[in-house]
Amino acid sequence: MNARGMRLVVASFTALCVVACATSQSGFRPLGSAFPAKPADFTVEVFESGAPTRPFERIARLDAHYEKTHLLHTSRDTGMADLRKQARAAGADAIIEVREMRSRVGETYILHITGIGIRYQDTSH
Amino acid sequence: MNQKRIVGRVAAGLAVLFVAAAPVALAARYDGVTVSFDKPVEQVQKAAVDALTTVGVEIKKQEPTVVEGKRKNKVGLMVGSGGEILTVTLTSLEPGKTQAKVRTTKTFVGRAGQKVWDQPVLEEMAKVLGVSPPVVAAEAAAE
Repeated sequence: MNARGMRLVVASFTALCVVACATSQSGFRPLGSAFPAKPADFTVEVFESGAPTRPFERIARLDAHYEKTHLLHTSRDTGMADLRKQARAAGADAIIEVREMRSRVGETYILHITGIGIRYQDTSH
Repeated sequence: MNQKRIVGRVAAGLAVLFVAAAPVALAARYDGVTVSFDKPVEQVQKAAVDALTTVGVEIKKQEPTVVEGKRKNKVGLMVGSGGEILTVTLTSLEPGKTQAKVRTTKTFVGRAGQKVWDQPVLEEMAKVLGVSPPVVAAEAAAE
């Protein structure tokens, strides 16, 4: 194989790794009625523990899932940013009951973050 | 000489048969994990959807009594991961009680990096339903 062929093989392998060594899946499931999405610049509150004192309604289950091979980790910040994005898409004001799960299959590191999107019932604040 | 050749061929044939039949034998032994929840089938179905999502399954089939999907394949340095098909089959035993069978089917591509996800799925279903994790009998290797 000449140098050009070798470069092509290396480039193809690199492209394959970039495209196929990591996957992410994010989404939300409405728990009842669907609500219109919040704007992209809306700030979603996150309650890592406890819940807001204002009256609220649980409206969606939120999920962000990442798998990376080559022993690469996904940061919690990446997962939380995605969870906020899902919350906005679900029309949620805030996220409660956040759970982070990490596991490993061989050289694949898995991160899953889930939470419950809520909507404030009292909008006077 | 001729007899030796025949014996050799029979031995080779038996070896091939043994290797080919082994996965079939294992498959017959493994039939997923079955547990029951004291919850109605509608609630258990939603818990199954959430649990499969938690382990990275892309849901392909979502029916009242069957939830099924596949984990995406990932290319790794050595073996990668993903490609398993996970199925949760539900049976309503009585009002407020549902039997759930979770089964992992390994596929050909990336088989070396695949694992059985039955237990993590059942544990997540229990969390979503707010019940204690179901006790599961020893499971056989999935094929």
